[in-house]
Amino acid sequence: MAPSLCAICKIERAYIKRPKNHAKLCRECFIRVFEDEIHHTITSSKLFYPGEKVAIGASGGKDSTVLASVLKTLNERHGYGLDLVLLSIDEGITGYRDDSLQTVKNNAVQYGMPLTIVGYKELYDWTMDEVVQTIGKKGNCTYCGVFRRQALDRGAKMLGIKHVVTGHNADDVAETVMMNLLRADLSRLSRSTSIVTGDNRSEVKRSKPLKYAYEKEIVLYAFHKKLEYFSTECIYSPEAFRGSARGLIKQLEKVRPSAILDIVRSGEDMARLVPGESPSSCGCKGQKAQAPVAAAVEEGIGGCGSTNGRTPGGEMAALDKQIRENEEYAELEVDVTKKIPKPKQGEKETQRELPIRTASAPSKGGRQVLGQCKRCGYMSSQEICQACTLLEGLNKNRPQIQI
Amino acid sequence: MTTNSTAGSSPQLCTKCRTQEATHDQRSHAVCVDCFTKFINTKSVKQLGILGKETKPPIIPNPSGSGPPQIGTRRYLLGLSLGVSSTCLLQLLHENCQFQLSKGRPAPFELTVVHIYNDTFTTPSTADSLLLPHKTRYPTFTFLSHPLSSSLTLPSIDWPSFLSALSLPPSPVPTLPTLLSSLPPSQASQSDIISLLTRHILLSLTLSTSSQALLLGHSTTAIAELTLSQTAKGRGFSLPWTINDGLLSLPNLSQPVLVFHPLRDILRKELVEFTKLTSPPLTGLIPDVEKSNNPEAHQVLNHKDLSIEEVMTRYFADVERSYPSVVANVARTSARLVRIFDEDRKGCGLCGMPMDGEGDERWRGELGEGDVGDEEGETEEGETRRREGRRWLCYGCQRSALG
Repeated sequence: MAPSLCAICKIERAYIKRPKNHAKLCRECFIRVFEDEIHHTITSSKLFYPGEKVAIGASGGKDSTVLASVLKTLNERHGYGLDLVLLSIDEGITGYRDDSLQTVKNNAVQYGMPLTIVGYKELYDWTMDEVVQTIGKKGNCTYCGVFRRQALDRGAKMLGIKHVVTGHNADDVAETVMMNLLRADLSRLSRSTSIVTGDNRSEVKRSKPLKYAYEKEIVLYAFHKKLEYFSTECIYSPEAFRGSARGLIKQLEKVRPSAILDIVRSGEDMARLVPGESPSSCGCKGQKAQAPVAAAVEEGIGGCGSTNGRTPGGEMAALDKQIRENEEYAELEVDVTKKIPKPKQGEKETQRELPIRTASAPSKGGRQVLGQCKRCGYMSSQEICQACTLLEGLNKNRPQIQI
Repeated sequence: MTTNSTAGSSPQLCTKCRTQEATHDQRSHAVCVDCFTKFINTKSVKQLGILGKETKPPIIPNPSGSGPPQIGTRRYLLGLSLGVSSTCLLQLLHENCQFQLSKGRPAPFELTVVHIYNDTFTTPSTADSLLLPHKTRYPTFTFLSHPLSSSLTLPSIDWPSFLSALSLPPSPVPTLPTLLSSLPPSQASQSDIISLLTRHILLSLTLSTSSQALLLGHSTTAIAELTLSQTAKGRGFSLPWTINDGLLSLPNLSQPVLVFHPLRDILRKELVEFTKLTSPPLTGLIPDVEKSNNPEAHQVLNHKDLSIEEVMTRYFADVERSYPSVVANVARTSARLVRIFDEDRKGCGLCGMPMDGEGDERWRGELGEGDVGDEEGETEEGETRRREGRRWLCYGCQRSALG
């Protein structure tokens, strides 16, 4: 049988079967079409404006390395006029981050982009190694996730940059959609698919130009472009829920390659079906052509992407237990609007009827109001932001550790 | 499911009645057979009560020609797949009728039970014989078997457009095998379209048999699976129409149909247990009882032979076993998604669900446009069809019908 030719150029021999749609392409056409699709995402969503200074959240992993490489290429090819810089977070995880940061440093030289590294130590006075020493491996991802979100914003602010791009890919977004359905978190579901998060109230906006790019294609692109990236997973434990959702979408991808993209599409559409999330909540003020913006303090997308093939564990069991307990408490609740049976004649009246308050109480389930953390000034829907709350807990334990 | 008491130790008492030995697990409570059966009954009776309130008994003219009109009996249609859930629903509806009759009251409803069979593999006589044991066991209900090919002439599907999108001539009406062979060959597409056709038949039969509601046997687990599988198929936007109880309109149907899921509060594993507890057991009425009880048992040889639904069933069998509350939470939460429809827009030509204009406008994840190539004889003509199809097919139907 004659070797099949590339479906696009019809000249070169087909070398790659695209994971996304099983099209057979040659190396050059694959690279080109991969870049073109990201260009399409960027232009149709109007992600950037000419002259914008953009920080690429770089971890040294495949996603952010490919993002940096593609953005550099597209910036030059299409004249975006972007001022691109690399922004890395040093969580302080020996044997993981110190090595991957070396990769980012090499990338900075290769791509000719300035690199800034912000450390947890300088921001919070804690490294992740120290956090794990204090609280153990269980639940440390919560700390790391909360700290990282703030760290990227603060790093960007230090550089006077208002836009951070991250390497979240279609698999990450699909996984988050499934995960939010599994843990029945509708408000996160409504935000998780937005390509841009953080609106004009927050100082730094985030976007995900690789939102529609398959993880497998990112790996292929990195391989064929011979990009240098760091592929070791974080040494601390991952979120179990994400692992379970990831396993599921990998299965679905095998059955139907388009499934990942189809989940992203469903997630985008379902965001508008969440009660209380009016279609106009995107903050784009009716400009339909512009990318919808999710007003989110936290976007609920895990950042470390190091959870391949993990099985559900403690987290799902904990949620199961919590729901069960809530149900049991609900059964114990008394309907106060029910009529109290009148005491039988001769029985002493032990209960006195109280007037029922008719004024509606402030509802708890309303939309969150974005304010500022009283301690650090970071945007927060609570009085004290998540990072400061976590730090308070950590600092309380510190003296004991030192003894 | 069944709790084994350890040899030697005294049997554990039922946590509800505290008199009989606990033999079953009811949402993490050890209960006896009677309490377990009562639990299943209560859960279904509660939903049937809601259904009874939503459907008023029909008013029929006085047979004598004069005098006041008479109040008739409610009429329902039950879709019987011959699986565990719909068989349990049949039994529970029967028990409900018998209970009312035993109290000297009239039967609360008349029931027509319909089994749709795929006439590509099954002859009408085989389908009829499958229902024989049911007819004997439930003599008060009417049983029908109906071929899947009858969907090919239903007015609720836009056949001319659908056939032209599949490159089939508009007349004569194609045979079912011709139609199915014109679809993408994957099991994911085939089974999705078959379930859509089945749904169309059930909805139209509900009207043609003058039934007031279509009853479907979906368990909590089935609704959770449906939530995730519809999401995976890109049908997130129409999810509230698929999983919620309520009126459903289809193009060219004379009136909306009330669709109801009376078993939405019972887990699949509980229904499986229930099939063994009736006398005689229901297991004799379920042809493929082993597969229904244990979806993970048969090995996957090729992922292409699996449908999205099968992936979900396998996934949820595992989740249901270990974390039943998570399953219930998914079903409960997805039921909170709201239905959005644009009155100016026509429904999808195939599934009949509302089309999502805004979603199309926002979608930036076009799947490798133009590079699908000539792998399976895909030509420019194929591309044109795809573009045409997009105008009258929803995202999920485009994916299943056109690949």
